[in-house]
Amino acid sequence: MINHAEAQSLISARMDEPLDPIVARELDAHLATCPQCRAFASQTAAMSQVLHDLPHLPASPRVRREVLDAIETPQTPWTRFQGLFAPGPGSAWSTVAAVLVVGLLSIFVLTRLLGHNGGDDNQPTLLAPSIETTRETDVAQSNPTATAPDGQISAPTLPPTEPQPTATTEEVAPPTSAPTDVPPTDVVAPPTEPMPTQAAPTETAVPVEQPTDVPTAVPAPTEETAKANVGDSGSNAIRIAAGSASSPEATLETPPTDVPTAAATETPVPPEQPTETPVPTDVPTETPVPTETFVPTDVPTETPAPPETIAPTEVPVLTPTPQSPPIEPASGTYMPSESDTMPAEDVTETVPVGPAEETVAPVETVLPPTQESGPPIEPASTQTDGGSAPTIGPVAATPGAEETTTDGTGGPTSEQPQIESGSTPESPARSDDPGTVLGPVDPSARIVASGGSWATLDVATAPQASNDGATATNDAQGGIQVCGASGTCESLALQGDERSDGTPIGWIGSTLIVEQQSRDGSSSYYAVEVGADGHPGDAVPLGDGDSSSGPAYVYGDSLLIATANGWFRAGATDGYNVVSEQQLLDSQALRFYPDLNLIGAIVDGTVVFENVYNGTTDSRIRSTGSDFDLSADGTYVAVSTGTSIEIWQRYGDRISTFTPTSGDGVGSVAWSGDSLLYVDTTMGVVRSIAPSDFGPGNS
Amino acid sequence: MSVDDTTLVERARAGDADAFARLFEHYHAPILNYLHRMVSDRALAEDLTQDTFIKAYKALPRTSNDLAFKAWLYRIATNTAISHMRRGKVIRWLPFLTDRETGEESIERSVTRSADVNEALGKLPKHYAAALLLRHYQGLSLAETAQALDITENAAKLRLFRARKAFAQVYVGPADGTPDEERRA
Repeated sequence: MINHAEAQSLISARMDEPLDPIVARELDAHLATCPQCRAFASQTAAMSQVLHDLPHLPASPRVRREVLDAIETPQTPWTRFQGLFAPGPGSAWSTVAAVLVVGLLSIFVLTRLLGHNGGDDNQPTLLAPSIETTRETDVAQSNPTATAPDGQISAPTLPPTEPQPTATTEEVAPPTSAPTDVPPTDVVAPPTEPMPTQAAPTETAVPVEQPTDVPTAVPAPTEETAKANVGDSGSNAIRIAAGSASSPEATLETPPTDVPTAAATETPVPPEQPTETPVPTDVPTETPVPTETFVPTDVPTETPAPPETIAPTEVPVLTPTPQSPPIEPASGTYMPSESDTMPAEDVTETVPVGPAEETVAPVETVLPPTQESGPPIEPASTQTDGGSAPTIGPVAATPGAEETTTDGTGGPTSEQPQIESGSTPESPARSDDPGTVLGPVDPSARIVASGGSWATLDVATAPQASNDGATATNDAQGGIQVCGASGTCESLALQGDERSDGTPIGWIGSTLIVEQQSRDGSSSYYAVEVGADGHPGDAVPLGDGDSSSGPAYVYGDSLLIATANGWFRAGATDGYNVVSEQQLLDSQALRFYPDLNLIGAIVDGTVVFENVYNGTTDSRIRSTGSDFDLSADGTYVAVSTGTSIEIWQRYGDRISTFTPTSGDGVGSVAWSGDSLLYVDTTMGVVRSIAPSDFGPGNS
Repeated sequence: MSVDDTTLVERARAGDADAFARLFEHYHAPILNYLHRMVSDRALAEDLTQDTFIKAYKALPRTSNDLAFKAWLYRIATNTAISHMRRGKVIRWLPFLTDRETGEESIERSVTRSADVNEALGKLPKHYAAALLLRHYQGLSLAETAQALDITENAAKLRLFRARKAFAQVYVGPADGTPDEERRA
């Protein structure tokens, strides 16, 4: 008999591979009598099917383009060097080459060390080989036929590896005196310059190691090539390498100098073996030295992580969060919309959007001054009001929010700011213009609508107060004064200073959110817990130091901050750490829809909506526009293309296009109930058009 | 891995960019979809897919001849995703406000909606989600799943079992008439 746990384990195992027949029969017998395990079996089978049937995204052109661009980028010398270590076919050659490269590099380093030591009075004799070798190199390179007249390059290559200076000197001496038709003065003279220093060993090390000596002794191109391949080995090492070969400057002139030279010396690799090939595939595979010997330690840190480094480690369990942080509006009940659970792939699916939320309480949303154009807005409330925080968010930031309030009227309340706006039609500018002119506006302004009023999005906010009645204001010098309800005030320090410049953005409970702008216009945000007595605590930077350049929205107990590249949400329940962040590259025209839990932006001309809570993409509108707005119930999206307004279903296709008959330009757009407001950029006015003007059938 | 794949991998390992490009075309969409389910965000999944293939391209020359390319690629993808989620900016992914949903609403939800699956996957530890996605969504064999997770097959069996049980706890699946209490037994 098997118990439940064993049975369920077997049920799971049977999904991966057949069970032993006896065990299978035992399991079946158990299942026949155990409803719990039958339920588990059916559930896991269903789960498997559901996972299997999940929709698939098509391949991404962007990823294709970027990856193919990346791999088609010519390999750098370093990547070619890495290729030498590749195992597999052809690795024998590269392994041998690698061995010798490492060996030569070691020689160089050793020689350099000797050279340094040669500067020590205690070891004067060690300096000699460097100088002598240098001299020989000069000669050899100037007259290759003298050093390798018969083309043999084997024996002379290795002597320098021996730390025997005298041997090296003897080795290189013959070529110096070898028959040559090169004018002796050209060859000998340059090396003689350092000679006087040879008499004073302690001083000789300097000229030997100084690259400035090289051009006089070695033809510049050859030396440079060698240096490039040897890296930072230094001129001394280069000269020894060249001189040690007693040969071929070809060794120096060919980019992978060290590799082919070593290979030619140690292995029967044909001379025509391409020395630059990163991974020669045609080379015999016999490998005298195991590959593993060379791979790890000699490769600089820029080496891509070996497979071992990307091996997965046990991942700490990310504790499932049973519930989202309570980010409810201050006084309302948040009703999640369909969008909350709409994954990115559903963009292409036709998903019915539920009816507008019945109840969306006013959201405590704060709109700080933005960088967008538009006239400064006079705050409707006073900056000194320490009373209840005004509720302006749904009106200013999210027209839809207001339009779904319970009263249904959407009319401005007494707490809503009266911004540059108009609630009554004004005189029409032209008789042939469509719609109703609502009032003048900066053509570049972005507008929002709320019931019977409209406003530009550049909204200055009324001051807020903490739950305890504390307030924060700017002092005359740009610093921040935090005052408790009792009237006691303190200067706020953000970064350990006595006082800091900044702008109070708003309050979340007893936490003050402060924006600090830098000279480049970007902003950093801080959260400061303020006690009932008005004493500010330490300022906690929000996020991880990301700068922001857009507006911040205090929403419930979270803060949404628009950045230059997207937005992030910092939650009070997480100590104002960033709980989610979404990159919207080149995002513009950010709009926030707190009642729908959405934030929208134009990304590369495309309208994108993202879920505020989990950062998933809610939907994308396949249209290129300069502004957009989401209808109150989240069903429709109006997109301004500059010359017309397109109406899209949030999860579907375009249903209509409205183009002003006068041909006027179209700027910002905003929904106002069923109607649309738009900025007539030609006339510089806001117009209102009815559904009959832009609805289906009006394309 | 098919013979063609084997040849392509061999050539790509030797530095043949064209061969790697063909491998990329073959595995691009599956990796993208896998990562999409891991991180629940298409744009991010695309970025991680790009990272995965570039990492693979750089590391491939250092792999051995017996490389199981497909599993190896998924391993890179898995680690890339998990590493990304470990980093500070995405501290954790939040559930889809299930606390606001009543039991009745859950029962009424469509069982095949991928949102439900995403929600359930989002509540799982990422290595559980990875195991389930590799095995059931990407269709890797048990051996391949084990290789992709860099664990033994026995460990993969155990992880899959635990992942399935965990998934059953958080996923309200098809309405098969089984009471929730019984379903979650």
